[in-house]
Amino acid sequence: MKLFTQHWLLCSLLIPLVLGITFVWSPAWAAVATGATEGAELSKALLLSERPAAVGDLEINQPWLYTMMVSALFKTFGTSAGIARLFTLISAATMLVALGWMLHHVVGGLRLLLVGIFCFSVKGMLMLSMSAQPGLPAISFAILATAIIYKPVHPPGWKRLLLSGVLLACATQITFMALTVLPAFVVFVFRQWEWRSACKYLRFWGIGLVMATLIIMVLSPNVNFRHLLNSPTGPIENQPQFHLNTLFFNPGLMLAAGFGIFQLAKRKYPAPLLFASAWLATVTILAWVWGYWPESEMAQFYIPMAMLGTAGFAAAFSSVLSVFQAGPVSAQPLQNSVRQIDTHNELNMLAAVTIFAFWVGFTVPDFVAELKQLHRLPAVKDNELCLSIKENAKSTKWCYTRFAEYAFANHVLIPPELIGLTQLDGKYGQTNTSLLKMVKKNQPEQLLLAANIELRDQEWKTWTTNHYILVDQDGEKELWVSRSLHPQNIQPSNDILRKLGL
Amino acid sequence: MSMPRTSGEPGLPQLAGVILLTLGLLKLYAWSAGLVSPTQDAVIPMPLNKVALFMGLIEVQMGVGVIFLLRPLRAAQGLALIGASFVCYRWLHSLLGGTPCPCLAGATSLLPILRMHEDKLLLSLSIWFFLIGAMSWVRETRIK
Repeated sequence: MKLFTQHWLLCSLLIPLVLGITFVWSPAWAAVATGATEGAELSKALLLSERPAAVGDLEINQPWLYTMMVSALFKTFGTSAGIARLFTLISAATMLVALGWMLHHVVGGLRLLLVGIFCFSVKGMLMLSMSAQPGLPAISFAILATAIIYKPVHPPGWKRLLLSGVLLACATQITFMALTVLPAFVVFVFRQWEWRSACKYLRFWGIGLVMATLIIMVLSPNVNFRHLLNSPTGPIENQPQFHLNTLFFNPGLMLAAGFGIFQLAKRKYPAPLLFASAWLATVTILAWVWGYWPESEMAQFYIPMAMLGTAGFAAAFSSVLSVFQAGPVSAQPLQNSVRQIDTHNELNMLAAVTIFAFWVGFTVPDFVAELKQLHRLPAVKDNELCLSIKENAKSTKWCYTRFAEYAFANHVLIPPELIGLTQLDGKYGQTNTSLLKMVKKNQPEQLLLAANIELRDQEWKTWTTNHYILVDQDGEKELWVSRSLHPQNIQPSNDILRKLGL
Repeated sequence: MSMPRTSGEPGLPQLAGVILLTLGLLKLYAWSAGLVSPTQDAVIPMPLNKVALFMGLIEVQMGVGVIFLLRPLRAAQGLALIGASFVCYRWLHSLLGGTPCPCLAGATSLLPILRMHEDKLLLSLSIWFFLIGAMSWVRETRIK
């Protein structure tokens, strides 16, 4: 136990270890999908690794670095969603170690575990840490960039500053959403050093940032500013959104973070807590102004809240510990038959108990439900639709689908101009007709269509039934294979039911 | 119940007592206004309206006791006991299912957000009562 209380690194590695065990134990490695936008991200990386010449037409709404990294992983270790998910998990683990380094000057010992517990017990975060989406890796790079220059005693050398700039460039080149860390980063720098030194340090940091950004842009397959600038800042149809009121569904964490902010002044504004407060304020203001926040970026709320919550709960919990650790004490002198009560201690105990009770009552049931959901994820080999796509995968050049994870599971490519479009449904003004035009141009051998979206359109329905044969269906998903591949037809369930007189 | 009071300053048990008293009064109001259905409770072998009356009386009595009458040690023990029984009830209810106890009475119709998270809120409150009681109990036993 002493070993853990003295070494912050050991404490910081415990939660990543638990996450790793959960990943190995759960079917996340071989699941069809563990995140909403995962399929599109994986399909982009697959396209880049298998047909790099075709990516020129790719409509993207974020920079290329994440796609390039996942594509490189595919080339090195083989094409598998599990590899990309493991990359996210390692990013999350690295982030927790970086947070441990930043927070061990504020809270020590086993209390460092709190940051991981608070962060990954929130609904959706466990799944996000095992999902091939760029949000968490980007944040991980941004936090590494901050942690690397956190040295409360000595000023950092130029190499460290340069590296920090490079890491932040990587974060912003994974997704632009990582830019939300920038105001907090500036606050962090100016809190650590007096402003003249901070400006001097920021020069080296800026050189690293600009150089790395330029290098990444040069290495990127294309830099299509039209698409990047047209990136949506409003809600996207069919894309899961994160609503600010979701934060109230975790009152334990909210209270802990609130108590952490309360600790700011008391602890003379430590840089890590100031960083977390500034970051939380930035994302809250942005989400409120935009009226939209993608669910895959919810970690940007929960990570700073977990940092503040760790400081808050650790401070409150110390009062609880004092009750158990202290030996028998004499009753304080009675004044007019009234025993004096230490208000500060009472407030801390009340905070600790309330945070714990509400965390157990609200967050733990959601976490248990998410664990169960993770354990029930359908594996690719058990999914009939995936197996049906696989039957004709070898003769398939392109597959059109908005359920990109099914195409990726069989290493079937989606036409480049259609990956991003389906991901950003309706944002570039495409209609069912214009989408059909693009699909006709690419002549995909397989279509995995949504009965309630594409097939609701008469033009789509006529074209599909004329050129394709329905081979499988699962709920609203219908798999159609080109007649040129001579697939075996299945009768639509409606026909079967009609024949049975139902 | 009529023990002399030795702790005058309002502390955590007193705060818990106020909340307990409020919950008890809510139940009694719900029972008297006929807001509780006579459906059989899954855990306690009596209809829900009687459960509301029974639990409301206990909570009011305990709340008044904790705030005004009981010695700190007894108040802490009482809170720990009632918190533990709430936790057991919630746990058994999650196992057995059935119509939930109208613990928050009509408050859920005033604030729909309470209805959405009623189960979680009640579990949190149960744990809160238990922990406040248990911690105060430990603290009281350490005072010579």
